[in-house]
Amino acid sequence: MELIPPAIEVRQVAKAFRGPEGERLPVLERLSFVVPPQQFVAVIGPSGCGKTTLLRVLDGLTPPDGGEVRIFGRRVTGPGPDRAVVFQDFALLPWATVLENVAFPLEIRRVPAPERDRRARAAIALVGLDGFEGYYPHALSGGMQQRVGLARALVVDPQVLLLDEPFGALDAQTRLVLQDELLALWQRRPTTVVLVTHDMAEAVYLADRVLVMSPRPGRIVEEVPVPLPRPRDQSVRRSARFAELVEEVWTCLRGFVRL
Amino acid sequence: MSVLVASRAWAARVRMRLPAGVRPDRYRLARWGSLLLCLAGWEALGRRAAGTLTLPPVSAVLQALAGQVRDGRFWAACATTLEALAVGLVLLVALGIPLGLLCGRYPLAGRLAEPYLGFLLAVPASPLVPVFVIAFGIGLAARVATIVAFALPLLVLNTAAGVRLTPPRLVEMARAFGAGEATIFRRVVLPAAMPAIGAGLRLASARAVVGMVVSELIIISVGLGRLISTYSATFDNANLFAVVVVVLGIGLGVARLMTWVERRLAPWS
Repeated sequence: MELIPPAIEVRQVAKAFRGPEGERLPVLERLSFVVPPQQFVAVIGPSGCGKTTLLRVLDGLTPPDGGEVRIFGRRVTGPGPDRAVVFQDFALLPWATVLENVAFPLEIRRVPAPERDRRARAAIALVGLDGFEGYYPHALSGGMQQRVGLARALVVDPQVLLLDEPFGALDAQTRLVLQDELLALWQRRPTTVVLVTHDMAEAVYLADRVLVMSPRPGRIVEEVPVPLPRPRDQSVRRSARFAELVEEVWTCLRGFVRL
Repeated sequence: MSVLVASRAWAARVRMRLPAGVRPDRYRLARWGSLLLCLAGWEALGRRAAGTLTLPPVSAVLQALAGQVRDGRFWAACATTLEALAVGLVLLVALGIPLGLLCGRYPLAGRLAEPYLGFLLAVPASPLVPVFVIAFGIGLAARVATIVAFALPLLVLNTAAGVRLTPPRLVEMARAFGAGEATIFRRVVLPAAMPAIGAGLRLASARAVVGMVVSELIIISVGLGRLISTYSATFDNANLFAVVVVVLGIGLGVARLMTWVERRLAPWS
């Protein structure tokens, strides 16, 4: 008998889209997994397996055709204040400053302006962008823009953080730096995280558990626990254990890769 | 309002850049220089044609203009014409922008309205003037209707196109954070459409001036249009050109006004 419900419970979720000729294209099928509170989970799969659709279902942007998603026991019927998303392409408002972008979710929730300002500034400081509050996104580098995206997600103090290939659009060095920053932030204030990625090393480096999805229609077909000690830093990548874990994920995935 | 303030501040950083090393006053010199050249050419041509009824020299036109401005009837004509234009422009904005937003955001509205607007845009609107006269009489209303009919399609279609250019990712982002339709409209769609609205406003107001002249030349003979008809019927070319110059001035004035409005709406464009 569980007293605390799991942070995320995905049960038998199915989702299909309509193809150009009206045919049914199943994207997710009988997809299930459970994430306990404050766990960091990575979802990895071949491209086009429905990872992003899964994330949209978790966020409530896309209603599933079948099955259900529960966040801390509450059934998801739409976007909610308990969840926040970080987007691959940052999705910042180009006509708004860093401060306004980060404060946007609070504005949506009608948080009074002084509190909005205070909390947005705190979130900006958290991702190390203090001093850039008045900048517009186009004046920032990709890495800085994604920090804004991260701050915008953190400002609402989400119980569940959904990351949609957040570092996919960044160069390799920036990606490593931001991975470490994400880990440090998560260490300081643990939340439940679902990271969608196609980078196996990234999944192993960041997550407690890697869920492997099958090609469309996507299901969770394998689960690789990552028992690497925390706090982690990039030196763990050189360990034999790390290589084994990446290899294990690759073994699950390799059969799915089609050119 | 905060959208406007924010976009203005944003724009200050992205303001139009001239090619390196070119100073804006050099462009100004070229512009005024070419105008002077045109006027000089006109004067020379006019003098050679002296005695015929074709082209009066600039000096004669200016003289005629000086005579006009001392005449109360000229100012009454200006007032009549500008009244219709002003009412028309206000109506244009009040109808065009909301209609355009609606058409851009809701496919049903777009599908319903846009064929008619496209039709209005493609065919000459002049044949509609008699229709408006039948509908509204020969008063102010028919002239305003003509102005709006000329200009509205451009503003609506431009605004709708701007709305459709809203990056879907930004709408999705707003939705992911729980934004309702009103917030999405105000904070995402409207700022995204702002440059197109501004451009539409400039184009549409130019067509409004055309509508203004056309309505007064066809059937509803009042205002500056009536002066044009009268002077051309009596072959009083100097006065005719003087009135035409005034109409051109009104057109330029409206264009300047709209450029100013556009800067305020979408300073980054």
